[in-house]
Amino acid sequence: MIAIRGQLGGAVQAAVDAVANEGSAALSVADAGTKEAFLDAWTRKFAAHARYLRAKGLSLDAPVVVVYVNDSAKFASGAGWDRQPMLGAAPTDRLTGMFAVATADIGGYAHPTRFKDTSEITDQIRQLGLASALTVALMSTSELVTWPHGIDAELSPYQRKLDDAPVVFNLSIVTLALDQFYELVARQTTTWWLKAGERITVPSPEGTVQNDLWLFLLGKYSEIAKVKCETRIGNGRSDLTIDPLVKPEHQSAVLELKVTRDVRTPEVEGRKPTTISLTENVQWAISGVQQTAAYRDDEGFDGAFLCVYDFCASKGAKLDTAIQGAANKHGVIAKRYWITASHKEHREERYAV
Amino acid sequence: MTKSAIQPNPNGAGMWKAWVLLCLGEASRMGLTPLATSQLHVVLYLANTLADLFEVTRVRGRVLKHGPFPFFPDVQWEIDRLAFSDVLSIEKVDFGAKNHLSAYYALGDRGADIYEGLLTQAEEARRTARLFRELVSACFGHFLGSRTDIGPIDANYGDANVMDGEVVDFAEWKDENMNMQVAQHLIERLRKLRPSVGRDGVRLYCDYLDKAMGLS
Repeated sequence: MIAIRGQLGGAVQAAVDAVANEGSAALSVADAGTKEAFLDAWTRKFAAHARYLRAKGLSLDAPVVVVYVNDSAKFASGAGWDRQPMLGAAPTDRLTGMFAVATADIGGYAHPTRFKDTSEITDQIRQLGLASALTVALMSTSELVTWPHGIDAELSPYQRKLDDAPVVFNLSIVTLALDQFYELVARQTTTWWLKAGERITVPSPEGTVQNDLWLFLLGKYSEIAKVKCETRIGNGRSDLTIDPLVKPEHQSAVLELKVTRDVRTPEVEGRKPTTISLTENVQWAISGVQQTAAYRDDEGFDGAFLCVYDFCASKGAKLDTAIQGAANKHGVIAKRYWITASHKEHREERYAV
Repeated sequence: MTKSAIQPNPNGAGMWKAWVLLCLGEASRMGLTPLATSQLHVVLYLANTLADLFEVTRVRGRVLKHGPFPFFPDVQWEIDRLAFSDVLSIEKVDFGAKNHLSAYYALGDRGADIYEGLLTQAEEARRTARLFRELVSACFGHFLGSRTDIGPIDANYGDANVMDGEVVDFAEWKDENMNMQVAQHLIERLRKLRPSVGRDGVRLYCDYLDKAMGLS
């Protein structure tokens, strides 16, 4: 062993330097044992497994499915599941047909049966009461699917094509991802509304939107970027940050999310909701321009985004004008996404006659 | 289970028991139990060296340098007491050379209840649990599933200035805790990527141990 030791006690300097040079992959996006850390890790592991199979010219005979549970031992021990402390450690492991539950980015419990197809695994997931749990599935060597709120959730799963084409992560890719998220998750969603007919949102709409967007971006870009939520920057916290693992060909971004809505959600059900004026909404949205521009400049991000998720009944022309004017002044990429409250609204906007 | 002439130190015994329960509780949640004796001692040692990252009060800031991995004989005495009172369960026992026994520990039914109780009652316990959550995840994600001999490459324990049989003291002076120095050095080197000081400090140090083992 070549060990140059000194300033750092018994530490091997070559290993310290290796971590510093390659360590970006080891950095976390969330606390161990959380859904977000699980999703970040398992999408990367499955993508690596698919890459290994493609490189060897092998196919995946049956899907591989892993479901998040809060306490894998409590869930699986005593139920005949196979404890696998090294599950996920090597992309070369034979995973075909495996159905597992896990809590962290390594280890878990595998079902004793190797399944042949998705319908068998789906039945098992439902029987075990896991239909609303975060699920990640490698369907083939070229397709990865994530169900952020479980296989029976109203939300569509996130499908991702896997290939060996090089990806350059830049601000255009972020814009595209935000648009995809809007189409897939935000349009006509029922999970963000409490009473859509009265345009009353869930109690913390910004947090809900932020969490869904975070899961979406994690599932999509975990191999090339660290997508983090509520990163502490200076005296504040940014909503989402995207830091690609390899620079300089990639670009980093900070995202500030704002929700505009017609009424505040009443704390007590049945109470009359308080109206929010257009002026208040404009001021709130514009404050996001200042925040995201400041985060970008203070921390050296390549781009700053303001994403306004607009739950208001109006089509938002005035809001658009206001935020675009402020955004242009500070070089911020501002996007306003209108959240429809019904299929009728969706049809009228997309298929106007 | 290792025979020791060292009598248990009443100071900190309760804290050690709590740490053992929190460590095994977090490992269990992740499907990583049972932990072998050596794995348990390595995680307990690393938790003491990296406790500052999570603003956790360490139980002990020194360890006798003897053998390929850090080992606390008096803590083993407490662990065995917990096992024999059904707080922990011993899942299996390996019989090694020279009659050295290595037990594999998990939470017993009583231990699971106490672990839950600790998390409910004390903020310090929750911070300590977070530390162990990151540690067991990072250690098993790297080296600890196959190797526990961190002694020669650990920044504190492997310091050539401390001879075998002497005490490794990493607590009297802050700048003598070389594990923390390595973690902070790595955090600083990767600052542009905005690491989270607490959890990434733990992960980067474990990544260091893994890479150093690969070089040895």
